[in-house]
Parts: sequence; structure tokens; C-alpha cells
Amino acid sequence: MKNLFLVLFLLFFGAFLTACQENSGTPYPTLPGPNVRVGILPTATASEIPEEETPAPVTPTAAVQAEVQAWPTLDEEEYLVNQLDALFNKMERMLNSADTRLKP
Amino acid sequence: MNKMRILSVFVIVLCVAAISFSAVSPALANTPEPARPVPGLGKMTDTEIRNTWLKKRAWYDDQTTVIRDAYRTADTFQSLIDFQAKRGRDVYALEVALSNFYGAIRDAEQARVNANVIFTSNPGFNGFYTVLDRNLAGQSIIDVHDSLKSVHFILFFGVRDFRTAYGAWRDRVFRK
Repeated sequence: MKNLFLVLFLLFFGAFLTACQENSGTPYPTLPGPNVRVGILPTATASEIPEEETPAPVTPTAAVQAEVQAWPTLDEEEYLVNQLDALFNKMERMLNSADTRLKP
Repeated sequence: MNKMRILSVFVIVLCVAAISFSAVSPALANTPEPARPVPGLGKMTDTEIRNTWLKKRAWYDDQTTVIRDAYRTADTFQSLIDFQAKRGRDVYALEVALSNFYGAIRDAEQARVNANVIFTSNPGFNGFYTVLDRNLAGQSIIDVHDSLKSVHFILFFGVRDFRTAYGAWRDRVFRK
């Protein structure tokens, strides 16, 4: 008899919980179904499609060319000398900052 | 009633023990590690030995970077020599300086072989730089230090002489 009451109680409790649940038709938002247009197949073949013409390369005008040449050009000698200076400075900095004591 | 009394006494004893341990444990944690003598290094704790070893290792890595930069410098210098030779300038002094610099790099590489061997075998330490044998670890530090110091001076004087020769050439050529 006791078990019967327990089962009844659990049933009612379950029903109560189900009733408390949010009553929405779509519990999880889903994307709309795919809109597939069946039956429309490509009829044109590749050879019938006119190819797009590649535009011819633009010839730089005199004004543009002058603007480009106004930028500083990198002299090779200067580049090498600057790179050497930077490398020397870096090596000297690392060697000078080394702690040569036995117990630092 | 008797059980309750026993239980309350037990709880009180537990509380007292917990409070006393909370006061004592930080004091125990801060107990300084004893510094014991290491041959050739004086008194050192295990932590100090480990930190010294790690610093030597960092020094070795720095020297690796310097040697890599030295090779890059030599390559760039060779490019400069080629460039200047094409322009018809006298590059004999540059070639001599570069040859001496390559010699210094080679000497440095030879001098650090010993450090490389010691760092590979880690005598006195385990793989996690924990001190296993204090005397052996101390000897490793001394040996590595000697090797690294000789590499340092070879590189130091090599770079200094190379830069001096390069600077003299620059002054002579660019002041013309």
C-alpha cells in the first residue's frame, strides 16, 4: 500500500514538472529548411558561355611614374653598411651584458 | 550525555590543533635552507647551485646567439667586399679582417665544445636541474664557467678587432 502511494506521488510529481515546463513549440531555434529548386539544371555548356575579357594592363602615366620614383631607393652599399652596424651593435650589446662572474 | 561530552572534547582538541598548526606551518615553510660549503664555490644552498647552473645555461644560449650573429655578420661582410671589389676599391684590409674574424669564430666554437659536453651530461644534476651531488654539481659549474669565459673573451676580442678594422677601412674610403 505504501509503495502504491509512493508510485502515485512520483507520477503526480512528474506530471507537475511536465506542466511547469515552458510550453513552446520550438524548444531550440533551428534554421529554416533548405530552399532547393529542384528541376532547374544548367543548360548552357562551358563552351557556350562567353569568356570575360581580361583587361589590358594599365600603362603607368607619367605622373604616376614620377610619384613612384619619388620614393627613396635603397642603396645596396648603404643597406649593407647599416646591416653590419646593426649586427655589430647587437653582438657588442650581448657580449657587454654577459655576467662573467663565477657566482652571479 | 557522556558521549556528547567526549565528542565536544574531541572537537575542541581538533580546533586547538588546527589553530596551532596554522600558526606554525608558515614558520616552518620559511626556514632558510642551510648553506653548506661546495669545493671551489664557497657556501651555497642547493637552490643557489641550481640557479647558478641555470644562469650558466642562459649564458651558453646567449653565446649561441652571438655566434649565429657572427656568421651572419661575416656573410654580410663578404657581400660588402664583393660589392666594393666590383666598384674597384681596395678590399685587402677587409679580406684580412674577415679571415681573422672567421678564425675567432672557429676558436670560439672549439672552446665551447667542453661546455656543450658538460651541459649534455649534466653531471651532479638530474634532468630537471635538481642537485643530486653537490660536489659534482659545483665542479660542473666551475668547468662550464671556464669554458664559457674563454668563449666570451674570444668572441669579445674577435668582434672588437673586426669592428676596429672595418671602421678604419670605412674612415679611409669614405673620407676620400
